Amino acid sequence: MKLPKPSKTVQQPNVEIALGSKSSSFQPGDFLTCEYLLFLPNEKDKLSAIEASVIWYVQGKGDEDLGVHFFERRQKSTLHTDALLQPQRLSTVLPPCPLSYDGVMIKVIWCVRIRLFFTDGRQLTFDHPFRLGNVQCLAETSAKEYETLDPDPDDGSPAPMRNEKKKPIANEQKDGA
Amino acid sequence: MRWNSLFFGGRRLRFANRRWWAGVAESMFAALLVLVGIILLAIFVTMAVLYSTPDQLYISLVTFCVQIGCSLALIALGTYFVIACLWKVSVSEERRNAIVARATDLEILNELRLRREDLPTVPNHPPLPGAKFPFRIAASSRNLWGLISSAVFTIIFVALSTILILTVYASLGATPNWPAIGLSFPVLFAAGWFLFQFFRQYLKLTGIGPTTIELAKYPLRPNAKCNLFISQPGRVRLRLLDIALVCKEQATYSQGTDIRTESKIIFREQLFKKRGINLRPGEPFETELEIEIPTNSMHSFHTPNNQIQWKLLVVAQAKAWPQLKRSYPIAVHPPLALDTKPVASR
Repeated sequence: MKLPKPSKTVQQPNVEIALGSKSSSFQPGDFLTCEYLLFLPNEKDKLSAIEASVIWYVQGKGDEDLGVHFFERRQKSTLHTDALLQPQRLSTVLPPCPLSYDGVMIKVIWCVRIRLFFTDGRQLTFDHPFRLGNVQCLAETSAKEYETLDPDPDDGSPAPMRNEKKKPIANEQKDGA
Repeated sequence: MRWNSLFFGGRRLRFANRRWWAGVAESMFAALLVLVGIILLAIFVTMAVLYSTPDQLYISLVTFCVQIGCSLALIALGTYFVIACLWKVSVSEERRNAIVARATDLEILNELRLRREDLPTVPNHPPLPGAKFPFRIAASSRNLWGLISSAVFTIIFVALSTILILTVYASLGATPNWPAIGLSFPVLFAAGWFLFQFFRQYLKLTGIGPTTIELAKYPLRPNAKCNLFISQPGRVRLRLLDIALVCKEQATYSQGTDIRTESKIIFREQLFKKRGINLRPGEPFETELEIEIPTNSMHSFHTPNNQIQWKLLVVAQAKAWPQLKRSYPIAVHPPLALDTKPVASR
């Protein structure tokens, strides 16, 4: 596992995340290993806690749902400056479900998420997505059938998908916002 | 022209049809009891309100209590008969027996429960014991909602219209009560429309019997074939019986203060389609099919705002009857871990 070197031009806190496998595709029951390296260029960026998690979330037309498979929080008392200079490691066995899915209205996305908590109240999140399973959207394979379908008796009429927001690599939040 | 040509397409009246009419008459009588009870209750309460003073009832308290008791008894008796008729026609004999048998614990279902705990986002559609194959799929409870909602609205509007008519009748000798007269027409129309809808839903449930769907394996998994048994009882001639395997995405989202739900069918495979099926009491239409969930397809998925549902859709159409659509949700589990390993890549 080789972590990419942080760019010198970046002056904002950054986290480089690398998966232990060459492929970013996993199967249920696989052992996921991951290393992440913090880059804090400014001395005033003092961490109060770090959260590392392996999560899935549902993105698409509906409101977001989120599930946590692995979670680890390191408080300020356990954070050492030297330790932060070294790559941190997490590992977990991946569950049987939910599998990654790229559907018409629903997308199930798995990712490793590192969340940094700063002493001034700021929060930064860094996601590294990966795939679990090899599910394909059936609408792609049966597009012709799907276009000519009668609506389901229980269903409302289909509607176009809302504009999807591209998830930024780092999201900044303020506590109490 | 023979009289029976108007009702049975020219066919002679057979014993089966007589039994069917007997069933319809029995259920209609039960529904009528409920209706009469509601009307009487509304009449008695309205008379008491209109003609009684705060100090004294217009009749003795005992008479009033007897009136109220009789009307409530009629409603209760009718409701009991309606439920009994529905239970008789909508639940198969096998199921009734199975419900009794379910009291004894089944090891096979216990295994399913244990396995499910590992799949928290996969919805649980627990099967019932089947007669031909081990697992019988339960129909969606939504199928009954139409009947229940129309029954509730019928009761409300029949009671309202009775009160309005009594009010109008009471005011005929003196100054006409124009607001009540004006209001009685739309309320009467609404009562009639909901009554029609109720009987329509009721006949749908009783005329075309419950579809029994049984599976040889459960839960289903992608790329795995499974035998399917279908039994369709009833008392009518079906113009069409259509069964399809459907996968649907459903998303719930907030828009302002509203919560909206949208869904989209992303896969549909017709499993069975046949026209001209004669259903007679005691002789259900039965057939066996093979079902296969496509390779690499998504498993059933359920979170508070997003769902991926697999289900079997049954559409039955009989001449001069409203189209009947029933859905049978099925659980599709993710492939077993061993099945998902690529052959040579890892």
